[in-house]
Amino acid sequence: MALLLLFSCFSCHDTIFEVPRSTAVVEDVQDDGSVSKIYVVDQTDKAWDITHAVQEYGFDPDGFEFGLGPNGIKPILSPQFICRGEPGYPSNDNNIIVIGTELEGEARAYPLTIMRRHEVANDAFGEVHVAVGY
Amino acid sequence: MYSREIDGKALTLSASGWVYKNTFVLYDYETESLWYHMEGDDGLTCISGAFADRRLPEFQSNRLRWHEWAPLNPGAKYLRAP
Repeated sequence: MALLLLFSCFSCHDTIFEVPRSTAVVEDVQDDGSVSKIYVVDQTDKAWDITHAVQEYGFDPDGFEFGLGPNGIKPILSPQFICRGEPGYPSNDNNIIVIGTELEGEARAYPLTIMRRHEVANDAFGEVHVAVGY
Repeated sequence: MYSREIDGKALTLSASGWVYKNTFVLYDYETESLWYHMEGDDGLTCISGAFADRRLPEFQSNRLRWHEWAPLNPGAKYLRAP
């Protein structure tokens, strides 16, 4: 469970990096009391500007959980595929769960066992660029 | 599965490390904009960053067991573990 801190900053952005290594919500408050920027700081001390998400979409800053940092889960950037008949291709009775897709006349399956570790596969079907999400 | 094309260019999407309402918050390498699948929506919405309010539409995909899907797609390719 991530520890959430509410930390208000009245002057500047540089102090946000002094917060301890934990998730934190940082508000940059103007002299007139209005909040100009809202950040969540993750476990790698990276600050993410979520002002728009909060003000336009009603996101709750405290609802951002885990904050493992952008390098915690590495996406698949150049997916490689196995064709039927090649080693590693599952037999038709295999009951593994996959994300099955078909686009531009080509069908591809992304097993959840792999997708769970990478969350996103950046792929392309011909000229159509897609992201397969876990 | 979502489009990752915007203004004629391909974005690279990745997990941001954040989870909101049990859903991964994604970001793109190019601008570090945050992308989120809103409940009941059929695509990703940029909730913060340079592409704020832009959308990436969803393509159909199904989560199901290989033995149900593979016979219907005999030419299917299967993702190799990186």
